[in-house]
Amino acid sequence: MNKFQHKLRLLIAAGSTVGFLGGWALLAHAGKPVAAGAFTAVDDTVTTISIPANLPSIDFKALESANSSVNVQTFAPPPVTFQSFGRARLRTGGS
Amino acid sequence: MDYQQFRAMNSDIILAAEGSRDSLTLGFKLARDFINASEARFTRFTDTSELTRLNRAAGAWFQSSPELFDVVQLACALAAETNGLFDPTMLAALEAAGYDKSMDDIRAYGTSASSRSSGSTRSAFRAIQLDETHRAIHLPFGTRLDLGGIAKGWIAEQAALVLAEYADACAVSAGGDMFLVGLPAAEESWPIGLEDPRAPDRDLTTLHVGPGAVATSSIAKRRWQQGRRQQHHIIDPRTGEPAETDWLSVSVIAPHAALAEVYAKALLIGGSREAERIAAQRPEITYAAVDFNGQLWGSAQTEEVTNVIGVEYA
Repeated sequence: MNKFQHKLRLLIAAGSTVGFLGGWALLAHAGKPVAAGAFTAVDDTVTTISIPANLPSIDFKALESANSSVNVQTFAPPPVTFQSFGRARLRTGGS
Repeated sequence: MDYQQFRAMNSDIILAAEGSRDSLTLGFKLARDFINASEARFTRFTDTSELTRLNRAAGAWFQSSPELFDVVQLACALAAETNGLFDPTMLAALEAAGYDKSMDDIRAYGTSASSRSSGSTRSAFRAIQLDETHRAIHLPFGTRLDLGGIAKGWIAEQAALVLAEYADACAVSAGGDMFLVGLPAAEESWPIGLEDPRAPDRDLTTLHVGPGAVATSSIAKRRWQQGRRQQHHIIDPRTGEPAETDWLSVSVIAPHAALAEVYAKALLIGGSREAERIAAQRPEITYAAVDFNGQLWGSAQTEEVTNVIGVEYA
């Protein structure tokens, strides 16, 4: 029995040693981690996004007929222009 | 362009003028003095103003100043012209809706009035008598005037004419209701931002306006809570209640400030259904209305407002 125990201990010790050395060798050949910010661009290529076809135009006549019960017309204003003078801007909006 | 800004009439006042600095300094002072004196005369929020004394004298003849007589005469004439859509005798209705103290005070302390019937009589303005010879006004017993908007426009116009004596070109804006004299150097018009009533810090577009007046009536401002109801200060004389309209604001460009004020209010109350009929009364005015979606509306010629509008100043 003592002889069997002795052989078992030798087998476990040998297995552990082989496993340890195998793992060491595997890690030694694995890729190393890279510090943040250490990446370098491969090239300056930018992916282009395809532009969709033109949007359909608004059917103003249809809108007009939808509002035919109203005697006034609506219109789209041009964008706000910047003031030509420096400080307080004159604005109207009720008070 | 030189500017001076201050607060009066519960509004931000802007004086803008071009000319020599020394001359403008005096012009600004005189215009400001005129505005402050006029506010003291026309306010309904003090016991001592001339307007309050006139209202207290209802039922008897009241000897008035030339200034008060002018504004009351204008108000009555324009009330008749708009068939009562603008009515200066709506003070009781305004107070019943909760507008019983200045808007600065309502914003600070809330309204004290609870909802009640105003007892306003439709078209009470028709019974006001004016004696031009003796410069006297007779209000029917129980009638009281609120000259709010029309007085503010009139004051802006008169102050601009005072300032114009000392300037090459000038503008006086009282809370956005303004009168413009001349044109800024090298400009063909005055650029006026049209405020978005849904987002007052933003402009919907720029109006290019010649000499004359611009005024805006809005239900988006001067609002308050009365019980469970949201109230505003534009009273529909046909109901005696805050107007129910499909527009948030209406801006009017006109040769004179009183005209711009009155038609802005009448068009706002009338809304899209009555706009064409109301505007047809005065072909010389141009209006731009903003609905609840921020969409601009106007008459056939109104699109020019956002390009160039020239108003003949008489």
